[in-house]
Amino acid sequence: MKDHLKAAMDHLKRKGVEYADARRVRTEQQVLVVKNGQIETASDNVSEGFGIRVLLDGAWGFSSSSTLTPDRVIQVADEALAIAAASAKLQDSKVVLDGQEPVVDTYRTAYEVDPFSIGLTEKLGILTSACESMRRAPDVRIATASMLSWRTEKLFVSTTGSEIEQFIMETGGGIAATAMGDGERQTRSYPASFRGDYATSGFEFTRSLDLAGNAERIGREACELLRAPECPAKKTALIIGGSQLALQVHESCGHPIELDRVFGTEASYAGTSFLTVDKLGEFRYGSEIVNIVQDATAPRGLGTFGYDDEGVPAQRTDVVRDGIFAGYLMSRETAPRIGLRSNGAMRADGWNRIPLVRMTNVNLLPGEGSVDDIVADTKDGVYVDSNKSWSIDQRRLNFQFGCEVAWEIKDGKKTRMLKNPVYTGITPEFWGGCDAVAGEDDWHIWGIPSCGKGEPGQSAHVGHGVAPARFRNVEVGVKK
Amino acid sequence: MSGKALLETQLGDALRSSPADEAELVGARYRTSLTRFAKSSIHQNVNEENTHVIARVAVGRKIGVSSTNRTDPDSLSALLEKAAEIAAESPDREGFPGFPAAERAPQVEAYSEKTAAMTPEVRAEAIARAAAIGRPDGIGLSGAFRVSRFTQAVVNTSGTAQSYDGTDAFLSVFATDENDVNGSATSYAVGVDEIDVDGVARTAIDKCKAAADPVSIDPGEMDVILEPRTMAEVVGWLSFTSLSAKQVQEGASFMSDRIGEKLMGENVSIWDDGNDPEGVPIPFDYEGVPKKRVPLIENGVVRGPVYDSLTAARDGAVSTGHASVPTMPSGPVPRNVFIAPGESTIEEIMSSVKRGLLVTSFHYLNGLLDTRRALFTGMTRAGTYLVENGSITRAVKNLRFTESMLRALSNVEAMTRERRTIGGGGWGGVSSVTLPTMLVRNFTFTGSTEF
Repeated sequence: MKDHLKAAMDHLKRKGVEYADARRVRTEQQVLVVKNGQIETASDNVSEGFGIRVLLDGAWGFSSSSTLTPDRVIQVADEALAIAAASAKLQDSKVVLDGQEPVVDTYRTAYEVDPFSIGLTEKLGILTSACESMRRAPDVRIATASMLSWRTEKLFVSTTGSEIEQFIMETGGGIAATAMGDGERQTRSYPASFRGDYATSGFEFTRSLDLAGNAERIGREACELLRAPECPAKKTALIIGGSQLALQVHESCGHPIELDRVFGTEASYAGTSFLTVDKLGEFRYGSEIVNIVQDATAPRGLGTFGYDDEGVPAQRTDVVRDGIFAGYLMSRETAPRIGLRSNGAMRADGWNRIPLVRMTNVNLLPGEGSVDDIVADTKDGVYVDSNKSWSIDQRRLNFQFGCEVAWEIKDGKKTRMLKNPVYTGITPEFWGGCDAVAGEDDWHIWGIPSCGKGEPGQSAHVGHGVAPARFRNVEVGVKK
Repeated sequence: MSGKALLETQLGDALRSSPADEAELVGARYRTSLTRFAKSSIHQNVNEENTHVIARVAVGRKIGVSSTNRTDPDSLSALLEKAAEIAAESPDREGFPGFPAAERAPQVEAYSEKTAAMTPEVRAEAIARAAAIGRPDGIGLSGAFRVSRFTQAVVNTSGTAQSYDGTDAFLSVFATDENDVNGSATSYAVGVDEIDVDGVARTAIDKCKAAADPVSIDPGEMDVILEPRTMAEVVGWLSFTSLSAKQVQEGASFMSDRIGEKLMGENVSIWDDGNDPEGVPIPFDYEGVPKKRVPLIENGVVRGPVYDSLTAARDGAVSTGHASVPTMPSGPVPRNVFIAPGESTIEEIMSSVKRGLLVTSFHYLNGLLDTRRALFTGMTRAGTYLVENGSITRAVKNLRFTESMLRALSNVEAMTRERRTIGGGGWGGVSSVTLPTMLVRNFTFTGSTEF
């Protein structure tokens, strides 16, 4: 296939394009979902094809096909060329790419155990055992256990001579117990809600989650939630646990630093960003202890890779330094518009999608001490974790999150459990109130395999390294 | 041989090689082309051609699923074998009723040659023409113009064989002025010639102009005129969280244990009908079962959810033809929803509002806060206006609402006779909601933002 794609690059060069690249991608996905001991889904799914992107007269065209024949490759190259010519009919300025050296390289995820080599019997055994343990709790009516794995082979070639092969392995899982009583329904999840936690890793990561070992506790907590009092509405100190804080970083920092959003190319769908270019290097995003990086090199991060889908090497760059907004996620097209070069954040969801500026691993760097120290230092507050609902405005300012569970903090102690916690805020005010971030020992990169963006829709696999953190004067309990 | 006949025959031939006791093949062949524009300039312009086949097999009562986009006979045989291997390692599926033996679905008008044949040049010219409308006022347009043609087929060893050819076309226009004030409009149809590109652009531009100089208002309960796109998005969420037999059976739906109860206003009736050409029709589901018209809410009373064959067997019911794609555990989903119209004109509705808001669209809706109460939160977006004494007096900055949709749909004071069909955006796929504009009393806003 590499020869066919390279032939297409030569063909397009002869046709006079400014630049072109081609990606052949094969993804195998396994989905295992067990509910109450019954298999809900056991599927193995393969998708394979190629896409060609052409820059002609400063305008983009892209076409893709699942037919992997030499003739079809050339036809698709010509289709992309014709589409670029159509795009050129309506351009207010020509696309200019940054300068990047061609790369010839191979990258592989480091892993110990290929998840696809593990038989279904072992995997289903873990999931079934977890369901049984959750259902031992008296009010648990629905126990769900999931495992997902992906094996992706990518080949990238370009008219500038890049030839990059990548082999990415991703895996993980999660459990959820739903208790019901008196017309009420409460769910607890582990290690994170919405099917769990994921990493670029082998099956050793899934085993390390110990889904079955945590199942009984999760079932018990779901039942406790049924009887817990409602989280009261008040302004208070809010301590956010890891899996919820990962989503907070995702929505209120990860998306607004996508430079294509800032330039308005997602305006009609996902929205724009309050982090406009005049704010770069100047704007106080958060308190002085808030330090955030985008890091596609972080070991095991779900947003970790060797090269992005423009062939730019994975990098770690500052996003927020000492509370000041310091940098974006960028592509070869967007970075030069602010006088910079791409930091390798252009990613496509498969062979049939054009790359967009996406999150890699957007990580809140660890602070000092432990989460227990933060709790001990809090006189009055609420500790929340495990996301239940999420919503944020189109510029990423006003947000509202619901969580599965909360605990009241009184005089430095985590006391009674509270249900239905919701909190809301305005992004810079909220991060401005961050006065404690736990240290390295409580820091973990959470993997989110379902970040939506773009039209046609794309789903990215991204990571967020966080340790639990405290925020002052947060409006909690706005649920109606 | 037509595209649908070809795919049906190809899948039928492959089915004979299945090693399992029972087997089903679901095929989708499609070509999607989409032009995205921002600030009146095309920035993404893409095309995709693919064929995807899903095999679901039963070995006894053990089920396995596998999918591929390799469609030569050897690959399809291998696909069926892979599904059988998965089934063999799985425990029995309790309540599995076998694959349905369905009658041929009726033909629906779901294909437009004009949509299928539309080129990127024609899309670019249409967008350029629309962009010119906003230029004199300094208004830039963003959005997407998508056309898709597709063939879907389902065959199984119980004798079901269905196929159809379809198209759909979608246009969104998001107008932005120099102060980053927005207005938006969309259109969705089987035929691209039903999309009035200039008209959609003018609506978005007019909304943008009317949204200038917005003022902040305090959140709280207010009367709201909800244009069709707002509640269509709510219905889209409810389709997954409440209107599915799976959610009802799992106690997650507002319908759970409440079928026959009156939970909404007498003037609210909601149903699903995949054969009604006023929406964007789909003749059969992912199990090949023809779509039935399903009353979901009648005069405010809960009538019940949509079913696939597994959830129907659990309830001793019959499938209504709403099975989802078998590779993920979504359960049945309504995809052609209708809300009964009212008797008012938009002018009559406006004139009945002393002080309230007119909302064009919602943003980042979430319906997971409390699914049994249908409790939602979300923001208003791209056109929120203060209505005083029957007229729009000025634009307001966007607000967050947190509201139970059971309460909102119990407080519907009036609806328009005219309905619109909304769909096609976001994650794509054929799905439509046909509904009127609604006047809802005492809708709860809980927060505000800076623009």
